[in-house]
Amino acid sequence: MNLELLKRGLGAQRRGALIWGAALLFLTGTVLAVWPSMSDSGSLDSLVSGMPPELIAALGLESLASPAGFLNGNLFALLLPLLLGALGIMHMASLAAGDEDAGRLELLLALPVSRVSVYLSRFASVVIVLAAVALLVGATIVVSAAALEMELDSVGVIAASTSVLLLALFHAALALALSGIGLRSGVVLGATFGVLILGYLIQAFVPMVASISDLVAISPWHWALGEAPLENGFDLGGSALLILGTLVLLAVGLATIRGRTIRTA
Amino acid sequence: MAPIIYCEKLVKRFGGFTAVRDLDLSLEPGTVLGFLGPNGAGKSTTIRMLLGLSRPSSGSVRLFGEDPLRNRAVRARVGYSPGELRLDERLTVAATLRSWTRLRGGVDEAYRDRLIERLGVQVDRHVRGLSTGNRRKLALVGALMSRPELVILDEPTNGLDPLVQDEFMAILEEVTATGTSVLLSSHILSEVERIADRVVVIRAGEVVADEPKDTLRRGAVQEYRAVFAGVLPDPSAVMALSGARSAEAWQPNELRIEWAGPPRDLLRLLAEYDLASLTAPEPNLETAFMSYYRTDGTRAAKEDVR
Repeated sequence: MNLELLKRGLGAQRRGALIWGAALLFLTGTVLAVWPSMSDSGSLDSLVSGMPPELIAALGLESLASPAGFLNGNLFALLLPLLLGALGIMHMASLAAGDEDAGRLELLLALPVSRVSVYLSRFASVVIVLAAVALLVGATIVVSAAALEMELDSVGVIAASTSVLLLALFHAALALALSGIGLRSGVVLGATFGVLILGYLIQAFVPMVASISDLVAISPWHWALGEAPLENGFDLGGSALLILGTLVLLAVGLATIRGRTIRTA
Repeated sequence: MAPIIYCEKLVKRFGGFTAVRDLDLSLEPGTVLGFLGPNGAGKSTTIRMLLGLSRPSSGSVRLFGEDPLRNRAVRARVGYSPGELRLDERLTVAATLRSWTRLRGGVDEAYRDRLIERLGVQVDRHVRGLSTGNRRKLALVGALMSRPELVILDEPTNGLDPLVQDEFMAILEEVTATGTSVLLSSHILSEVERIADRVVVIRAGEVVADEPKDTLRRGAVQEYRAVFAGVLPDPSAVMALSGARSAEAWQPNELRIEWAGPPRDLLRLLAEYDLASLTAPEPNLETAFMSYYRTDGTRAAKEDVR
C-alpha cells in the first residue's frame, strides 16, 4: 500500500464518486419522501395485488406496507446493490484495466513502486469511495426514518447497507482479478456486469423453481441479502462468504499482475 | 565493474510474431549506448523488458545485476522517458511532478527546477492541454530529476522543437560528463552521433551491429565521385573489386561508386585513368546506418563492414 497511490486513486474517482453519490442520495431521498403519502393511503399492498406471487418475491415486494418492506422493495432488493455495484465495477475497471489500456501504467511502473502496491492502493481507494457512499445512504435512511416516524430498526439499516457494500466490493474485486489476468477494460466490464446481473437473476428467480432452488446459494446476492438483513440484522455467514470471496479475488488480481507483460497503448 | 545493462539471448514473442530475437546487449558504467533502428525494429520492446514492464519469452535480462521484473528497488536507479508517452490527463503538470517526486523519492528539487527552467516546462498547465512537445519535456524532467545512475530514453526528442532538442542534448552531455550511463534509443542519427560512445543497430529484432561509434562510422559504405579528364573506367571493372557496392557512370565524365572498407584497391584502379578529381563526403553514422538497411541481406552487409 502506498499513500501517494491511494490519493491518486481517490483523485481519479472524485468526479464519478460525486455524481454517483448524489444520484444515490437523490434516489434514496425520493423513495423516503413518498413513504408518508403511500403509507397513509393504505394502498401500497394493492399496488402489487395483481402481480403473480413469484414476481412479487423476485422484486422484493412481499410486504410493501411495512417500512422495512417498503425500503427493501424500493431500494435494497435491487436498486442500491445494482447501482453501488456498478459504481464499484466501473471505477475498479477504469483504475486497473482501463489505465493499462490507456498506457498510463507504463510510466508509473517504471518508477520504484511495485505492481502489488499499485493494485492494492487502487482497490483501497475504491473501498473508501464505496464505503463513503454506502455510509451516506445508510445514514440518510436512519435519520429520515426517525424524522418520518417510520418504524425501522437502525441496526437493520446498517446491516443491509453493509451487505450492499460488501456485495459491491466483491464485484469490484472481481474486476480487479480480471484486470490482473490481463483482460481489456471492455471485457472486464462486460464480464463483471454479467456476473452482477446473473447473480441477481439467480437470487430472484431460481427459488421459484423447486427442483433447482438450492442453486440460489451460488449467487453473491443471496449471500448478501438472502437472510433479509434489513429485518433480521447482520448475517455473519453471508458477510463472511462475501469477504472471503473478495479476498480470494483480490489475491488473484495481485498474483496475476505481478509477473506478466504490461500492455502498451 | 559489472555491466549496468546485460541481456543475453533475449527473446520476446507476441503470438507468432518475434519482436526481439536472441538479443545480446550490454552497457558498461559511464557509457552512452546509442540504440538505433527503424520503427518496429524491437527497440521499445527491448527497453520494456529492461524495465521489467514486459516479461521476456526466453533469455535473461539484468539491470544492475538484478532481475528488473522481480526487484522493484532497482528501478530507483533508473530514469525513463518512454517513446509512447501516456500521462495522467487528470493532473496538472505541477501535480504530475509532485506525484513522481513522492513515488520516486530522492529527487534533487533544485536540480529539478533548473531542468524545468531550461526545457521551458509550463508547470501551471493541465496535462490534458499540453502539446506533444510539452508532454515530452515533462517526461524528460521526470527521467532526469532524480539524477539516476542510468537514463533510458526512448526517442527522447520526438516532438520537440529544434531549440529545445538542442538544449536537451546539451543537458544530456552534461549528465553524461558526470558519469551517468545512458541508453539512447533513437532513429535520429545526429543525436546518437553527438553523444553515443557505442552504437547498437537493431533490425527486425536482431542486432546487426554492435560497435564503438567510430568503428561503425569508418566501416560505412562510402560514396566516391570520380571525375575524369579522359575516358571513364568501365563500371564493371570497378564492380569486379571486392569492396564495390555499386558503380555507375553519372555524367559523361563522372563515375559514382559506393564502396565499403579501405579504398586502396579502388584508388589503384582509378589512378590508371586520367583522374581529374575525387571527392568523398565525410562518412557519418547515417551512411553506416543506411548500409544496414539495404534490401539485400543484413548478414552480408554486416560481414563486409568488419
